[in-house]
Amino acid sequence: MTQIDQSGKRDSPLRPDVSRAAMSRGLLGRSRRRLVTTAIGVFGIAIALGLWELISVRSGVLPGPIDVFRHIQENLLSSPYLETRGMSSGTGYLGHLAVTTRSVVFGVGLGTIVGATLGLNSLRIPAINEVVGPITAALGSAPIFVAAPFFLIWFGIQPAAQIGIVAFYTFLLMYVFSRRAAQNVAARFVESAMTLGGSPRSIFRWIYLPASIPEFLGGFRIALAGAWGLAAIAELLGAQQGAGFLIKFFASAFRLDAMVAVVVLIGAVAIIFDAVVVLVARYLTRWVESGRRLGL
Amino acid sequence: MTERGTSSAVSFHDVECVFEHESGRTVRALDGVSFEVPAGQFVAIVGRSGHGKSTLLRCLAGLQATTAGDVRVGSRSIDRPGPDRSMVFQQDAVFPWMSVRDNVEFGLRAQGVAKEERHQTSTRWLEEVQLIDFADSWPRELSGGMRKRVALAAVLAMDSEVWLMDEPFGSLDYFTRRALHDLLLTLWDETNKTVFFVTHDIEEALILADRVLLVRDGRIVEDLPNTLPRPRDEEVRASRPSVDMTKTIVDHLGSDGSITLLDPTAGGD
Amino acid sequence: MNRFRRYVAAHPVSMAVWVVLIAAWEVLGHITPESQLSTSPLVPPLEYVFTDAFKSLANNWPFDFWAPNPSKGGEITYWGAVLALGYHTMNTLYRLLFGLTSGIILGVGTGLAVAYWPWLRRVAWTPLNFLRMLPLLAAIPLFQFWLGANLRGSTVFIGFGIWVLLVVATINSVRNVPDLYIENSRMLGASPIRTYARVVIPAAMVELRTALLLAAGLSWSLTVGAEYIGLTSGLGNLLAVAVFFTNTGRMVIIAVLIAVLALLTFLVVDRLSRRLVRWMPKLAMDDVIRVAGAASIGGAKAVAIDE
Repeated sequence: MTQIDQSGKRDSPLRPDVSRAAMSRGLLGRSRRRLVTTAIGVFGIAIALGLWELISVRSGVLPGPIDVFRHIQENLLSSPYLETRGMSSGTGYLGHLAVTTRSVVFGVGLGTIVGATLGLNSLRIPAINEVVGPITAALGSAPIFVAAPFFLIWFGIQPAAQIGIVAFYTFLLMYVFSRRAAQNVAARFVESAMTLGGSPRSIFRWIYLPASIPEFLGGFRIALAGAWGLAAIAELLGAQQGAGFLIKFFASAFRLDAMVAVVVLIGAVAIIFDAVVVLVARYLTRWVESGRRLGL
Repeated sequence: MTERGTSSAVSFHDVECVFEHESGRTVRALDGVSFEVPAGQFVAIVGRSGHGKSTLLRCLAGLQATTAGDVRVGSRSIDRPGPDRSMVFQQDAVFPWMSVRDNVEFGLRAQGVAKEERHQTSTRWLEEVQLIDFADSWPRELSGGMRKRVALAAVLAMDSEVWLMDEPFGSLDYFTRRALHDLLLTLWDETNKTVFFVTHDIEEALILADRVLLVRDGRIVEDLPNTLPRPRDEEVRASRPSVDMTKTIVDHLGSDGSITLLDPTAGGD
Repeated sequence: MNRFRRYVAAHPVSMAVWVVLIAAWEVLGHITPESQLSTSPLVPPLEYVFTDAFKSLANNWPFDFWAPNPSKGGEITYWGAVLALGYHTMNTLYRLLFGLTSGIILGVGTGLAVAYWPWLRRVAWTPLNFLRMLPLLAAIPLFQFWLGANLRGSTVFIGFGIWVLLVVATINSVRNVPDLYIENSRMLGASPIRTYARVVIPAAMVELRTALLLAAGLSWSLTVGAEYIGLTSGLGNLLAVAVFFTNTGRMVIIAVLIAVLALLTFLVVDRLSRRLVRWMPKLAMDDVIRVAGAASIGGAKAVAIDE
């Protein structure tokens, strides 16, 4: 899923924005500007929470934000509810979240390493795309509900199966993204390197690799964001631990507040990881000319 | 492994370069090009857009394959790029993910030169192009003209036998271009390399080159020696021989009726 | 047919890979053990897929007319299987259509509105970002309890997923319209609204097309997911039943059918959205020039589209 491109671009001249104009004219200092941006962000969250409360009151079934946050508070670190059902490992929801996180980290790591290596090298070695292309085409379009049951039947419900599912889809995505990033390296850089005496190996290491990092990182963020959902589904379909398992468990107990709580928690963890990736990405792409910083 | 001497002669023998569109149409970008350039000569290649001057340079660079004929540098026949013929490109090809110094050292690093020696070489050439204070900056912090100087320094560091330049100053303003002309001529004077300079700007060709090759429809239609005295300041360029040369070039390249000069005697509408 | 032959000739390794994959599947199908608990081998060989597995789909035909109803003791027939597939496919397509179209209309509409007022965009950014990160598929049980496991529930669920994707994509597309176009329009005297409607939105369609194709793919994922978990008809439901009986043969048939239908949806959306960008000049890639008899250059093949 794409992210909103926030940085680097001034507001379009369509509707001259008074407050923005004031800021750029220096009437507000830089730290003041940060404060205003943060305040606007908080305001946005507040409105969203308000909308949620409205919907929940109208629905009567959906729990509102207050109930959900209270539930999280009571159950995150140690869950009396889980214990009464004999399902606890003593760590509450956090323990299960950790299991899901582990699946995501290992799965995304594995998938990215294999996918990126093959993708970046697929220009130099056309045979790679000849082999991986059909596999991607055949298996890539399968929604996870189609692929996951096969994984589960073949590999059972051990953690390796969940990591496998996440790694598989991450590999597909990162292969395509890496290949495209390498293809989009402008010809003039490669040609310049060739006339300066660069060997194919040094061109790969010093031109293709660094030049594809911005686009690669954009794809990586997307793959990582999707991985959380994949891990949750894999757990939901067949696992004894993890956030997805919790959702299935609470579904059979008809506990909507708990289900919403777990979904919100997964989202929160996903955002934290995404924020870390953005920070790292900003450092790695500090050489990029401002303008369109690829949403980072 | 190509040798890097001080400077080499270049020759083209009946070089042809034919493109084939997917639609089946063929384009003869180069149609039997032959010339000989002695070592150390500054050659300008002038022509209108789309007539083959860039293709010619790219064939010499080894970035473009020829379909017939022979391209030689010194006594060697060439068919691929190499550090013996480094090129300064029209667009900005300075690597933005490397510092200025790393850009200049890239070719040396690829050749396996040791760190100390690399540092010395890059320092020397950065000083020559007056960018030593920006050695550790990112390219994005530099202006267009400064980035061209980085590209020049990278080529200089390779100590190539031939310098190739594909309309390198086209995107810069007049004053920056003048400064870079002076710099380029100073460096050429010091090193005495063979230089191929592609441009559509007649004035630029007359300022820089010893010899002007006119390219039209993939062929060399004229080979003019440029004997204007150096330094070629405004006075020299306004002199009779200079104006005559300009007229000759315009005649050879522009006479297909597509340039219409305004006729003040025509009836006004 | 000619284009296919040319493709096959040009990609010998790919073709070989396909053949190897299918052959390997067949071999595996015969050597993997049959699990005691399942009604079919772990890896179904092709002949099994096309006969027993296919026929067993007839079990899913819930009506008494046109073919025998197995749940009421009728026999299992090929025709029943075909009808069953058709019936469930219609259900899935029905849900998909409702969800996808409502998601597209609301998503693009909201996105265009939010993108128009910068203050609105700034306020909405944080919550939209959070919504984007929610694991939608894992929240299916939640949605079904909240909205019901029916057409309304599935439409809201699918529509919501598409909506989040398209709001973000539309905002991005609008922001990436070159200022030059907008300035030009305003300078010629067009009001902000007219500029937005006649200049910005058409220009944004170019980038939006990619998002629409993504939405097509996402909609299949969501629909199949929703049917898998809580609904009693549709291809996702068929899949869930097949998994329940561990009938890998049926799973393969349904998987292939879903893949084909998803591809068709993709093509339809592609065709329809092309009309939105009729005016665009052909991309550089359509005009590839090949040098006759060229020698390869150093092994590094750089393909770049200069913008």
